[in-house]
Amino acid sequence: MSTVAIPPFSSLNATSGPATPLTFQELLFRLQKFWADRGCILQQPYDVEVGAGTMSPETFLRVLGPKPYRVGYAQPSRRPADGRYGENPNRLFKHTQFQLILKPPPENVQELYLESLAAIGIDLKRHDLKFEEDNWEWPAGGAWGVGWQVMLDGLEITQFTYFQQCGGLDLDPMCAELTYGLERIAAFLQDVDSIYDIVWARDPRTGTTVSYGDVRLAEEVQFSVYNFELAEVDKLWEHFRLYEAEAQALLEKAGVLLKSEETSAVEKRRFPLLATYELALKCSNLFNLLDARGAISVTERVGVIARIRALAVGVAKAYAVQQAG
Amino acid sequence: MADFLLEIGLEEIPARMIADAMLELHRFVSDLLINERLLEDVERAGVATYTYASPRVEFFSTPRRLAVRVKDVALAQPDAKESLVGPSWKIAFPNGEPGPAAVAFAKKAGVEVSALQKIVNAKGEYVGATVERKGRAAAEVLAAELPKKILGLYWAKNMYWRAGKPERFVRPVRWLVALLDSEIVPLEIAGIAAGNVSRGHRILHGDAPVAIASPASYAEALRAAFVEPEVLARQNTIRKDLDRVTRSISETPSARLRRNEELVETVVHLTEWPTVLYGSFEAEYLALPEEVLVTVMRDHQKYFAVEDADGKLARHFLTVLNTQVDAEGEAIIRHGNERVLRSRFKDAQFFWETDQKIPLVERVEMLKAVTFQKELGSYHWKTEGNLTVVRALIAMVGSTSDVLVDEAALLKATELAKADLTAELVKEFTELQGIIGGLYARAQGLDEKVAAAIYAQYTPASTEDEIPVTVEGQLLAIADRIHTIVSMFEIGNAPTGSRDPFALRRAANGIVKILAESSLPLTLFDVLLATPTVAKGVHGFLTERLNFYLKDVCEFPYDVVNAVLASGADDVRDAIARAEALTAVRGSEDFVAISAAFKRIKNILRQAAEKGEIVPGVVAESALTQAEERELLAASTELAGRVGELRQLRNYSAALAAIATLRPAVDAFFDKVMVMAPYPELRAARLALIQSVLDGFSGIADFSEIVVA
Repeated sequence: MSTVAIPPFSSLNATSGPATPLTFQELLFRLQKFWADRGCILQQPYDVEVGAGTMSPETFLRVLGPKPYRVGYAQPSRRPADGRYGENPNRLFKHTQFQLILKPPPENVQELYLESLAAIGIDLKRHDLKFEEDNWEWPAGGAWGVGWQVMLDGLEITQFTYFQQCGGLDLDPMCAELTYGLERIAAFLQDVDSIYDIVWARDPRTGTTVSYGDVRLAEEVQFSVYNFELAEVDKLWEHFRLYEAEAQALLEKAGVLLKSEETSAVEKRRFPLLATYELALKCSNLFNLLDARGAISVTERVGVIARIRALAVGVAKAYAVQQAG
Repeated sequence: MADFLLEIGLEEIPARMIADAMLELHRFVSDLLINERLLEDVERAGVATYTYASPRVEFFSTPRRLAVRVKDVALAQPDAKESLVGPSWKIAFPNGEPGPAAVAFAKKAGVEVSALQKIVNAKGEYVGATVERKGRAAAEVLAAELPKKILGLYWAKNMYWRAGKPERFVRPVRWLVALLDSEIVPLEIAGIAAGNVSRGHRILHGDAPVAIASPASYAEALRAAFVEPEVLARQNTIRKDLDRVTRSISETPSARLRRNEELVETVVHLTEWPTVLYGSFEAEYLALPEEVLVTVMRDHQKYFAVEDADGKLARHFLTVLNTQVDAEGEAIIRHGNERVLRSRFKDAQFFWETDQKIPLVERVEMLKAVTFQKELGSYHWKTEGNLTVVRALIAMVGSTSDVLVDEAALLKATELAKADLTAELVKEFTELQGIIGGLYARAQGLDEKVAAAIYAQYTPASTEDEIPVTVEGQLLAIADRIHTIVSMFEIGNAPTGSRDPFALRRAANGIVKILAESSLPLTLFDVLLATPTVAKGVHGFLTERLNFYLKDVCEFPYDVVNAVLASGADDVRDAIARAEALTAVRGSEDFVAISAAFKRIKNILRQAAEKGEIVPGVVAESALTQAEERELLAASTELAGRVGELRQLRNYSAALAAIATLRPAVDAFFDKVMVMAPYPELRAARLALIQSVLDGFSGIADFSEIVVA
């Protein structure tokens, strides 16, 4: 398979930069437009709780198999233990990643990435940019890659990963995963010290602004209370077991069905592995909640991660077979 | 002759891997050119190939490229004559006429049958042929051989990027330059064909191609494109700029840079065109412990710290940029870096304040939820174990010496030592565990001895690091390590080969170093006895670490170390003293003779034992017949007493000097006396004599281990 360079695109001449820095939502628009103009499809955020954009099936499952794919999407990412009741200016229970998958990556992927920074108003001639080694892995997903954290004036603004394995399977072709930390970048562009002070939107007629805090602070406070204090541990475990049992049952069926020579191709294709994967994601989020509640002893921890891994990797393997079939 | 240049263009290589990769590439290219007879090299005579790097090979690197340049490469291999040996002459030339075998051999060798010669060697007569081998062109050899070598470079972590995964390398290869003078060498690596076009600095130069006219102009062409390819040149620039910028800090006129060579090494490999900038932070953050501030700056942000004239941390930092900007750019970049640092400090401050809500004393209970090791238990369990060991060590030290231990402080420190593992600040800065515990202990008003012991419990972190200053710190550090080692050995986690996932060797090195450099009256065996259980293999493991310490850290000759350890390996400081004394006399003429004599004694005794000879415990003096043996008995008996006394006083130099005086008697003995005499009684007496000499003088070292040049 040849990797063809995407030609440089000059219609977005953002290097001169707008007079006022981009709002939070404009930042997202720009990134979406930039990558859509370069052949990526734009997806909406996945509507199941995830800890990172990688866990969306748009990444986790689409990277499997030989079919080329280019997609970008914003993904609200929940990390219950990171909540700080809205009191810490730099930490959030839920932050927003702009996630990009380029499968296979074009040869000039790094150069394209730099262009995308220009598109959001960063004049690289007046900044210090470094690609510093940072490898990534998600053990519960059997996924890892090598890459960099992209440092701009000492701030990590993007995680750039060449995905090597997912669901325990070698990726061929491999893909590039670019994860932009939107809150960080917005705070940087707007030069604010607290995430909550980020301008989310500005009314173009009146100039009235709505801040990140206006939009999200209550959510941070309430979910911190729920995640740390009120989530019922027994119920969470019960949910976990129910989702896990259903996912396991489906995986067993999938195993039989996909192996059988009597099953028709149509039947194989319509087997709901995507739904099975959602159940696995539910388990992963419940695990994070239980962890935030301090309900998982360290001895249990490894075991529970292994259970989630069995589901996620199980789905990935079955999905690869289903796609090949 | 031509100059050769190879540049491998890559996406950013991890900084930590570049130096080693360059050395390896240097060696690969040297070896290849020399083995292929394309590079003459007189200096190499006698040097093992795999470690050789020719001084004619220069290397360059930046985060985006590895390059080598070689002067005076032959354009082609010299033609060579090769002698081939064929079938036996008799078979090839039956009756003196060429048969089918001769014809076939001539054909294979590419010569006329008439050119075949008779060769006579040890096995008989054979058919021989001399073949002219045309030397291959350098470009051809390089194109065929170099790519394999390059792709064989070692990387701590590599990746694949092309479909079908044909190769693995540290990062994708993006361009190649390969030139013999101005000619392109047609080699290909990972699907990239070599050319004469390089790339410049991503931002300062942009995407425009950088033509390399010849190997000689390589560095110059890159400099014009804002890339300094010489590592040493970047290092010098960075060092000079760090000093210059430090002097320019107007807010703190006498500011001094906190030097950090390791960090210089890192930023050298993170930059193609380094410049230095300073920034500042609010004085209020100086209220946070210096350890935290420095860790944030150095480890998280790769900033250099600055101190004032009194050596106190100043509110500035230096950052090494990978670019060169105008004044406006400097202001923007400074502001950005200051913003990041401020938010990191603010985080640290937040964690510090949060942590103070639960004092260390209350955190001990929380350790039940922190796993030490799955099969063993929590850090609470570990704390209990450490307490047991510490109590045993206190008993030993208290009963044997005048080293004063504050027992209460040590027990308190041991109890609280691991409590900081539950602190938010330690979760954020794991490398500061122990240190943060010590700081919290101090902040929470605990005894200074308690705080100091907790603070230093993980020192020495390496063989270059300092040991804890206080006795309590030393004992806690020893107890924590030996408890970990014994526990891990018990569940089968002893290190094997290069695998040591729990860093037990480092832990044991720490114990040895503390015993060596403190005045604790403890031997390795004492330390082992202090643990509640004894795991198999730990004693040998500790001895092996002592061996390592003496050889690799103290740098005693290996034979001296072997000799010293053969005579006792428990008392670390005593072993060092014996090794020092022995190293001093090792080369002297008398000692060379003594070593040889002891080797001989050992051989004789070994052979005697193999024959089933019984060596009596006492020398039957009356059985001895010759003057030389009586002389040796008298001299050695007299000397043994004196040496024993000196040894007691640990005056090893004097003891060894005394032993050296035994030489004439020993020499005379071996000159005139045959130990294995035919008469059994005489033989037994002589064997007993040499055994007594061996026993009497082997307490300091086993001299037979000394290797005589």
